[in-house]
Amino acid sequence: MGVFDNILHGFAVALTPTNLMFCWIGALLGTVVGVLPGINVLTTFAILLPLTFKIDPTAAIVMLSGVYYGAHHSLSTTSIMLNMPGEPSGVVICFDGYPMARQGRAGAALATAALSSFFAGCVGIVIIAFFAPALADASLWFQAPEYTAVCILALIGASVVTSKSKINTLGMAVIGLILGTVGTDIHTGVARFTFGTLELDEGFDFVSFAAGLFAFVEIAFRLGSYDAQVQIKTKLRDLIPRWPDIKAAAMPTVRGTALGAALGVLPGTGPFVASYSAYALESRIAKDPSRFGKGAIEGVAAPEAANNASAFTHYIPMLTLGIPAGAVFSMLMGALMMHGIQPGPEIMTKHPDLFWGLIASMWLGNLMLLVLNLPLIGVWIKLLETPYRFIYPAILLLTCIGCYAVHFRVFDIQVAAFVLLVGYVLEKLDCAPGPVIIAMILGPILEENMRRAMLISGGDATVFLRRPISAFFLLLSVALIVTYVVPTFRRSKKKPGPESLVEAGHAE
Amino acid sequence: MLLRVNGPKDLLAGLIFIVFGLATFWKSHDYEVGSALEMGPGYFPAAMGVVLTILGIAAIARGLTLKVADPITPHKLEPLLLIFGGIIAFSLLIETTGLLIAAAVLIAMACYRRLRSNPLEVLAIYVGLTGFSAFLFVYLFEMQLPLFWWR
Repeated sequence: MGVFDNILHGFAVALTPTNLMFCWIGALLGTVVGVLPGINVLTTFAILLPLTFKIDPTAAIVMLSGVYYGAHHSLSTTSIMLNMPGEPSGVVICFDGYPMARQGRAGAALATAALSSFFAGCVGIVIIAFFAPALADASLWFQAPEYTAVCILALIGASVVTSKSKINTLGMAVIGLILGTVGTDIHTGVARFTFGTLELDEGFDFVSFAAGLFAFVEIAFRLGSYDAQVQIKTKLRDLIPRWPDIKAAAMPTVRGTALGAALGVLPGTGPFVASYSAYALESRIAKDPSRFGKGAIEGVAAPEAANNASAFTHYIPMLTLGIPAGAVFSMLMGALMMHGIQPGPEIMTKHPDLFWGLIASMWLGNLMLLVLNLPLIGVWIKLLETPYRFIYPAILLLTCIGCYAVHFRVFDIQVAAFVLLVGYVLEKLDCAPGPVIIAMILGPILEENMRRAMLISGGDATVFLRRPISAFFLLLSVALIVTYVVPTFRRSKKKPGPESLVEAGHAE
Repeated sequence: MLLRVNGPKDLLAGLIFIVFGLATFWKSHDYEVGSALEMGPGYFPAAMGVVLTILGIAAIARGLTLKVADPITPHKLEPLLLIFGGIIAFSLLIETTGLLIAAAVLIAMACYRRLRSNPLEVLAIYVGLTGFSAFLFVYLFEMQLPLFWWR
C-alpha cells in the first residue's frame, strides 16, 4: 500500500459522521479557546480528557488535535486586533500585525494570517503523511541510549525556552521526573513514594496536575492581580486582502512554512522558536528592513506560517518515537495511553485507522478553520470582549468535574487543589509549570530506557557518547544549556533578545 | 534579611528544590538503589534528587549574585484561598450531596465578593453552568455523576 492509498483510507475514516463531528467540535472549540482570555489549550484538555474516555480513541485524538491547531490558528486574531498574544509564539505576530490593524489594515492582516496558516498547515500535514512512515522506519536505529538522549533533549528544550527563570524551570522539570516515579515500579513491583495510599499505586494522574497547574493557578493569579482588567473594544473594517498584499505575502509564507516545518521536527523547540526565526529571516532578507515593526505584511505572513507548520510537524516526534514535543503533546499521549494505545513507531502499523484518520482530519479541520475563521471574525472579536468574571467560574467548575470524572475519585480533585497551592507559590518564584507535565509523561520512558541502556552496555555510561545519534542529541542538549542557562548568571541587565520578547507574551 | 537579597525568588525556589531534592534522595533509599549496571527502583529517584539539589544550589547562587533587584510582586491572597477552599469543598460534597450542591458551594466561594454586590449575576452563572454540565456530563456522556444525594 502506498501513501496515497493510506491517505484515501484516512479520509474514509475521517469522513465518518462521528469523526467529522468531533473534528468540527474540536476546531471550533480551539478557535474559541484561542480568543477567550484566560483559557488555553492545556486547560481545555484538562476539561475534555475525561470525556474522551467515553468516545472512540480516533474520535478522541481527532477532537483534541482540533482544539490544538484551532487555537494555533486563532492565535493571530488577538495578536493583530489587540496586540495581546495568547501564547509566546503570538508575540512575533504582534510586531507587524498590530501596526497593520492600527493603520486600518486589520482585515488584510487577518486574512493574510488565515491564508498563510492554511497553506502552512497543509504543507505540515503532507510532511507528516510522507515523512512519518519513513521516520518510523528510521526509529529502528533508536534504541535505549537514543531514547534516553532524546528524552533529555526534549526536557531541556522545553525548559529553557521560557520567559521565567531557566534554572528554576529546569528544577520544575526534575520535580516532574520525580513525580513521574510515584507508583508501582514496573520492573520490581515495588510501590514507590505511595506512602501506603492505594490511590497512588498507579501514580499521580497527570490530569490533576494539568488542572491544578494550568487552570487553577491561572485563575488565582488573574483574580489576585492588582493590575486592573482592561475592557476590550475593537473595530474591524474590510476583510478582503488586495492583490498586492497577496503577492507580497506569498514568498514569506513559503519560507516561513519551510523553516517552521523543519524546526518543528526537532523535539524541544517550541513554536516560538519557529515563528521568531521566520521573522528574523524575513527582516534580514527584506529590501527595506525599516518597514518591519511598522506594519509589514511579510512580518505577519512568515511567522504565522512558521508557527502553524511547526504546530503540525511537532506531531512527528510523538507519532514516530513516542516522545512529546511539548506539554500539549504529553497530554495527547496521555489521552492515547488511557485508551491503551502506546504512541510510538508502532502506531502506524497497529492503529492505521487512527494514524491516517488523524492526518486526514487535520486537513479537513484546517479547511473548516479557513471557512470558519474569516467570515465569522466578527463573532470571534465579540467573544474577545467576554468579561473574565463569566469565564473563570466555568473553567473552575468544569475542571473540577473533569478531574473527578477521570477515575471517579475525590482524591484526584484534592490533589489538584494542593497542586494549586504549591504551583501558585512556584509560579510566583519564576518557575514555569509546563515542564512538570512533560516530565511526568517522559519520566517513566526516560527511566526505563536509561536502565536498559546501562544494562546492555554493562554499566558503561560512555555508551551514550559512543553512539552517534545519542551523542548528537546530548550535544544539542548541552548547547541549549550553554546558550540559554549560562548567560543568566552573567547578565545583569536584560537586553532585548528572544527571552524578553517571550516575556511580553506572558505579560498579557 | 531575605528582602535585601536581589533575587529572593531564586533564593526561595532554590531552597524548595534543595528540601524536595534531599527528601527524595533520602526516601529513595527505602527502595533498593542498586548499581549503575543494575538500577533498582530507588536509583532513578535518588539520582533526580541529587540533580534537583544541585539545581537548587545553582538557583540560590544566581539569587545571591543577581545585580538588579527582582523582587516578588505582591498579590492578593484572598482569591487563592477562596478558590482552594471551594475546590476542597467541592471534593467533599460531590459524592455526599451531589453535583448541584457541590457546584453551588464552589461557585459561591469563587464569586464571594460578587455574591454581595450582584447576587443575581452569580445565580445566573450557577444555573447556567450546572445546567450545562448536567446536560454534558450526565445526559450526553452518561457519566456516573450524582446530581443529588439520592442518586
